[in-house]
Amino acid sequence: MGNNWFDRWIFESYQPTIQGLALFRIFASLLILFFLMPDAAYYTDLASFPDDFFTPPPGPMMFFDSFPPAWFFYSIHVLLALSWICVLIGFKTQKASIAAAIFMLILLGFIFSIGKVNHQMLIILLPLLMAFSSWGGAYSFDAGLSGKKTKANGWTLTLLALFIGFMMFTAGFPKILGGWLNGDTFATQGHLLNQYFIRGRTELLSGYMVSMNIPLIWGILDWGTVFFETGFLIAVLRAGWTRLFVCFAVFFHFSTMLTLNIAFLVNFPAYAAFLPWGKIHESIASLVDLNEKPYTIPLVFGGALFCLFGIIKIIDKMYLLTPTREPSFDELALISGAVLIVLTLGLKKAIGLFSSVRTQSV
Amino acid sequence: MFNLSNKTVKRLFIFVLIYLPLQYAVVGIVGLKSSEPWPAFVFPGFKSVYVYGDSYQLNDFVLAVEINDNRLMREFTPRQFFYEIPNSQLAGFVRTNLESAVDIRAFDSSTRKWFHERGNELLGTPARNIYYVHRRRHMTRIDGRLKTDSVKVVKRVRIAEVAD
Repeated sequence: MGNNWFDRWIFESYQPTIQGLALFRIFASLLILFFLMPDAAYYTDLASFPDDFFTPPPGPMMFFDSFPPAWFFYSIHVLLALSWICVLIGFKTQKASIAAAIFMLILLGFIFSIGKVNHQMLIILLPLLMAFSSWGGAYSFDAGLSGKKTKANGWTLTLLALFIGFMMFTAGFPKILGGWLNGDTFATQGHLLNQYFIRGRTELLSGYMVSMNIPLIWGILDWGTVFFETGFLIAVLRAGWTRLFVCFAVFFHFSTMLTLNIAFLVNFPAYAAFLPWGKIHESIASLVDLNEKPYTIPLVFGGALFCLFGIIKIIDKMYLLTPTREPSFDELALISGAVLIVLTLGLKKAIGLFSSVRTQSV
Repeated sequence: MFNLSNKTVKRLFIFVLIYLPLQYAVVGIVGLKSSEPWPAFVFPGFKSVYVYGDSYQLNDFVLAVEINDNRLMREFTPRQFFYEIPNSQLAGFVRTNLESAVDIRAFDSSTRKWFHERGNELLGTPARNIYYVHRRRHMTRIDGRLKTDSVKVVKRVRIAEVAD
C-alpha cells in the first residue's frame, strides 16, 4: 500500500459538509446533555464511601487516595454541562469540545475508581476528535462572529472509525482466545444465564432466551459476535464498509439490550457521526428558504430534537412504561429509534440499488 | 479555529496506528498482573465461557448478615447491599474489593463500621457478623428446564464482626 493510498484513506474517505457537521454537532450535544451525562445523584454516595472502596485502576487515578468531596464532583459536572452547551450553540466550539472531553475524563476517572472500569472512552474521544472537524463552522456563534468560511475536515471521521474499529477488535480477539469459536461451548448463552440468574437482568426477551435451547442458534450468535467485532477493524479501510459495520453495531446493541438487558447507549453518539448528515441537511434545506432565514434549519432541527428528547426524558423519569431501570425507557426508545433509522436508510439504499440495476438492464 | 496541517494529520495517524496496538499490549500485561488500566482504548472482552454442553456454571455472590437477636442469617445480593452502585459496576466492584480475603482483612475500622451501618439499615435491626460469600452454582437442563444440581461455597470471609 503506497503513500497515495494512505493519503486518500485519511483525507478522502469521508467528505462531510460543514452544514452536515453542524447538524451532527447539535444532535450529539443534545443527546449527551439529555441522556449521557454521569448521574449527578451518585456523586454524594461516591464521596461518602469509605476510603477502602477507592480502588483506582492502574493509571492517573492512582495519584489519589480517596474519593474527592461531593462539591468537586458537582463543580466538574457543571463545567461539563456548560462545555456541551457551548458546543451545542457553537460558542468557542473547539475549546469547548476539548474541555468537554477533559471534564468527562475526570468525572469518569473517579466514578471508575470504585473497582470497575466501564468502557466509555468513545464519549470522551468523540468531542476531542470532532473539535478538529470544524463542526462549529456553521450554524454557530463562532461562524456568525468570524464571518469566515471554514473547511470540513473529513479525516477526523477516518480517525474516529479507526478508534472504533480497533476497540471493537479488542472485544473480539479475547473471545477467540477464550474459546468462543469452539463448537461445544456456548459463550453467549453462558453470559445470558449469568446476567439473568446472578445480576437479575430479567427484562424484555431475556426469559424467552433463557428457555431457548437450540445449540445451532447459540453457536451462530457466538460466531457472529466474533466476526462482527474483529471484522470491524478491516471495515475501517473503507467508508462504505465502516458504515455497514456501524449498522451491524446498532443491531448488535439492540439485540444485547433485548436479551442481556445491557444497553450501551454511550457509543451511539460516535456511531451517529457516520450518518449521512450532508444529505439530511439537504433534505431539510429543500423545505426552507435559506436566503430569507438561514438559521431556520438549526432552530427547527435543534428544537425538534429538544422536544423529542425532552418527552423521552420525562417519560423515563416518570417510569410510565418501564417500571424497572434496566434497560431504562430512554435507552429502549433511543436504541430502538436507531434501529428504525438504520432500517430506513438500508431500505432507501436497497431501493436505489434496485432502480439503478433496472435502469442499466433496460 | 486551530487547524492541523496535512503533514501533522498524517503524523498523527501514524502515531495512532503504532500507539493502539502498543497500549493494547500494555493493557493485557497490566491487566494480568493487577487490573485493567484506565484510560485505555479497549472494549470489554467477555472471553469467559460458562456453558459446556448441557452443563452451566454460574458464580453467585452474596452478603450474609447475621441478625443480632437470634443469630439467624439473612442474605443480600450485591445489588441490594450496595444499592447506590450502578448495576454495570457491581460485579467488578465485588471482584476488586471483596474477592480477596487479604484485602477484606485490611479494611479499616471506618469501612467495617460502614458495613455494620448498612447491615443495620437493611435489616431494620442491629446486625452482628457480616460475611461475603462466593458460591458456584452448577445447573443442567432437564426436559428443557434449567435446574440447579449443586451449589459449592468457594469463599466465605467475615467482613465485619461483633465481639462475643
